[in-house]
Amino acid sequence: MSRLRYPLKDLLDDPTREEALARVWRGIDARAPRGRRRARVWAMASVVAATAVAIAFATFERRDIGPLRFADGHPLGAVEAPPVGAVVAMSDGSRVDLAAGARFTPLESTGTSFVAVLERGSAHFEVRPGGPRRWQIECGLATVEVVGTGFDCTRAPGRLSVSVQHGAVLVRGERVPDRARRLAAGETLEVLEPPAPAEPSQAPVGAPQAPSKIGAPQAPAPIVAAAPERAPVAADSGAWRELARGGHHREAFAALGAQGLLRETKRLGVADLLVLADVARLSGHAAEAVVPLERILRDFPGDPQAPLAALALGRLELDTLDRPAKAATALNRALSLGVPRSLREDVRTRLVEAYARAGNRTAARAAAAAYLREYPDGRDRSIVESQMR
Amino acid sequence: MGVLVSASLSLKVSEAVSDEELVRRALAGERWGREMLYRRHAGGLLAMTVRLLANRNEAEEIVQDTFVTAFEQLGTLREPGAVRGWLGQIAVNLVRRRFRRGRLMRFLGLDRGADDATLEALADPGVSTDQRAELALVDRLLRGMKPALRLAWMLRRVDGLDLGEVASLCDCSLATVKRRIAEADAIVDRHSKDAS
Repeated sequence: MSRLRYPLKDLLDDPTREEALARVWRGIDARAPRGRRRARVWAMASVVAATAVAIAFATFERRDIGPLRFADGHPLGAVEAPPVGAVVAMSDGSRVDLAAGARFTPLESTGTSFVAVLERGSAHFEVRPGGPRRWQIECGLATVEVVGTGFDCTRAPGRLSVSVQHGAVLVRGERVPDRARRLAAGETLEVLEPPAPAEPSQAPVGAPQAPSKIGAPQAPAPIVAAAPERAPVAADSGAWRELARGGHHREAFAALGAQGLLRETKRLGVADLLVLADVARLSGHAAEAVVPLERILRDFPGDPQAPLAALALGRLELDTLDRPAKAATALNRALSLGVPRSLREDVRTRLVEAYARAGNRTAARAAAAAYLREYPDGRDRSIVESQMR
Repeated sequence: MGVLVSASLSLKVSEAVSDEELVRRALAGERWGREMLYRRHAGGLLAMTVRLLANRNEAEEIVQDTFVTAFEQLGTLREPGAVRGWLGQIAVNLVRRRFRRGRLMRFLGLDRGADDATLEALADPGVSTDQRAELALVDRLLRGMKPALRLAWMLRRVDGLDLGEVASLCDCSLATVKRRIAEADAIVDRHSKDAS
């Protein structure tokens, strides 16, 4: 710039206006759950409805005293879902949708708490908000605590995935970063069992670790947080992992080198491949990050992490590498592999964008139609609808 | 609540209260804590988002969404003293999404095309005609840039943030931020030389 000095802000008026700040605050306040203004607006309606609600609530509470039961009044017992899945309706209005093969066993139920274990498989929980009991779901690698919310749990050998659709949950466990993590709507937590220590006769395998990944809608790519390790770090190939674990991705990539990344990609398992991809991406080597992600999709398509790898690849291709056609392929893969429900809408929107940017109007229209079928009131509806014209 | 924290007394009180304390009060359900957090940080966020988006209405929407999201998720904030940076990350993430949508809208020919807060429009009255012309050129170049480049460059070259802050707000590495800014610098410099 020949005549301009940085920062350009020094040449500009302050665009902040007091009336704008007041306007924004009114909007925030109106959306606050306990705003006084809203309370005033609803006060009269509340008075009118109060009697009916009180009667209904009293009736419900009477029915909801004591241990939780099945909705039909029978005592709770273990449920193993048949191949078509199963819906478990509870006496407090809560519901558990079990995927095929999932096994759900209640352990303890009182008037104030409910403890159960998801022994295997996937389940979607809809816990009635405002209910009298605190729910605690044991999922092996972690415990999910909740009062009223909707969330998914998927338990597989060595892995646990928790996704929140609405409300919030608290996930506790030794393998959870800081041993406890609160998840809000749209967030997903992946908890992994560390790989077993390397056999003495094998080549060095590097530092076993149990990364946990959290992703949010509209949010940047996953954060990798390392959990406590169980086995010693192999000296030669573990250096990059140590650096990555400390957040020194640039140094980790330097320790690996491009050839080292390719070499490691060929021999590592899924959890390490995801860390490897983060090292490449966060050190500014986006193109190299593609390689480990593609290997996950090629060699481990059945792994529970594979859908997230496909989504990460799609985002990388679309947002960083500007290769929309490849992004569309990866995003379609994420859908077919069963990306967590909380991320699915974002994948569908990105797919429309990917096809549109790739110049494939027919596919973009088809992707838009699929979005609208699945999310008729979705947050990106207006943009997606434009594809249908 | 019709009027934003109008009492100057409240403002004086709030200046003596740390962010940690305001977060704690907001978490305890005290509306005063939320208002003071807003009052303390909204101005800076609004100014930044207006400059980033070049559109006042969109910036107001972003700031509103930022605080609604922040108040909903305040319990997840690990370091209450870092609330300013956290709010900035939420806002920049929303801006990034808006850039992405804008790009798609332009691709589809649905661009609203009514930016009212471009750099040229925001120029101080004392800015020379040459400088104003150059700001207009920068506005045009920014519109054609990839969102990632535009975001990093603006946070650095327009708002004057240090590289670490830019990397944190953009959720990428320092190396990536440097590369993006350098790439955007090259575009701006090339066109600036052509123009002169």
